[in-house]
Amino acid sequence: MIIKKIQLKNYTVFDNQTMEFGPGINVLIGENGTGKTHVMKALYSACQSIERKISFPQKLVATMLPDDYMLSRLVTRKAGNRRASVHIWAGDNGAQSEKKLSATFHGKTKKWDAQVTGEAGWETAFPGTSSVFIPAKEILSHSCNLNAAAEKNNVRFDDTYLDIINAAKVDISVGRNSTDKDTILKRIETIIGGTVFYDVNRDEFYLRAGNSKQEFNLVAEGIRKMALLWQLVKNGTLVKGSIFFWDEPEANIHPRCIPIIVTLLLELQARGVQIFISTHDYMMASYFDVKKAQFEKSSVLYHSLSRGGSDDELHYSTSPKFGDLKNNEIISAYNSLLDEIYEL
Amino acid sequence: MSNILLEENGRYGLDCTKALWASGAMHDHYVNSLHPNCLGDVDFVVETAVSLLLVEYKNAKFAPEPGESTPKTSANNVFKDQKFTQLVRKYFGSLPYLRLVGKTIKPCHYIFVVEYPNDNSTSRKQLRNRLKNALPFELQKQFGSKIKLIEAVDVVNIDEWNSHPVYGQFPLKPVKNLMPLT
Repeated sequence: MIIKKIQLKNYTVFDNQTMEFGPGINVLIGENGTGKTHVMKALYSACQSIERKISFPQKLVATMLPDDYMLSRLVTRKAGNRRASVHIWAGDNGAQSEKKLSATFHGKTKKWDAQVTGEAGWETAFPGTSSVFIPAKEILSHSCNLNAAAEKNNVRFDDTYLDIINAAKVDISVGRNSTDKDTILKRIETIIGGTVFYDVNRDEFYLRAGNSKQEFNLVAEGIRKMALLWQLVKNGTLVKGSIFFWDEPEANIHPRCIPIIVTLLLELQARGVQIFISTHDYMMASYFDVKKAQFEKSSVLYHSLSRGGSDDELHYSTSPKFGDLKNNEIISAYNSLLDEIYEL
Repeated sequence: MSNILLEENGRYGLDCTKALWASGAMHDHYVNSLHPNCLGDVDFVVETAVSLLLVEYKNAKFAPEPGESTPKTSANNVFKDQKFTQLVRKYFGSLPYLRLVGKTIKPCHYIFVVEYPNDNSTSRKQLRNRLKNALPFELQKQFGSKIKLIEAVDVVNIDEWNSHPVYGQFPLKPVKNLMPLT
């Protein structure tokens, strides 16, 4: 499955925005509040709704968590009766025609009772497609009984957090790895200094190095994020045809690890994983341009969301090259800093 | 009358028609009369009404043409220490030439016009700031006089050069069809 396009109308911060995606890595940049995570959560919800037991609008609510689980609260907060819609197109790299999944709702929509079209075709076109969303905040160290607590409404986490814990708990840590998988796992092990172990009885994750194991909450947060990636590669969540969303991979990560993460993501896309990341990091964004030349098969597309103009409207631009991206707020911010340093 | 100075590979020309004075001959003068590698030299000097522009040009974005050897400067080595030191030496080495041609009154701006794969304005500004630390800005401050060896340093690509309010008066344009690096 490859996500081709999204159109958002009167949805959260979007009046009417269409974005087209590449089959490899899609890098979303923009200031806080420009909707990067909203786009990724909408796409993730659509991917998850391939499973017959999951409905697209319900997943939208579960990942966005509006008050009282009301989809109507995701309609753009502007004057007038607005009708919101989310349309997503996906297909394969081959000849298969595109499928479109849509959800339409308005200010009086009850709960997640949106008008949905294309869901049946969506489910049959992409059966078994795996998708995973790593949120910006690390969560695995708090995994013990979190899902049970969330089900009982004792804690409130959106579904991206609960889903990632479930995905990571799939334990296939025995058996041989493919050569491709081995390369990626070994690369991550250079950062985390060991392998990941999930103790079913304790419902806890550990980092195992040699004969010792260390509780996840005693490990640095950046290491835990990379350990999660190791687990997802190891247990087969990230395989050809799967969709991988990662919100701010650079959060809590030392800059020295950024080129390694970029290389890992390029390796995953070369193996047929479509990737969506959001980032505020100049190094992360720039490194894709630098490293992609080392890959025979590489597709990197940058997407910029920014605000500007007299009515502070949202602008979108896209480019295969970071330096050519218009309204590039990361470049602008860094350049301002460098100009101030120059003037000292 | 037009006055177009060609860079060393003859691919781009700097149109100095609007300059009060311009020269691309520093290198030849030095090669013909100095011991090799005594002094570095910039590619062009352009005099405007208020300043002297010392311009060094490097384009690592184009593949060698048939018959040409591979460029000495590979894709990204403008950031390597050796190349960086050469860039600094080119400025200092150009100062005697300015004295000999009687161009010592106007403020000097050193501009490195550079194209390299995967470039962006931030990486150029990082290079500019690094150059500022290596050029005599701090040195001239110690003397507190109005005499300055350098007024400003800038690192730009060709588009930025051509759209700059001052530099753009002397457009840098291709003079033959070029084959981009793949």
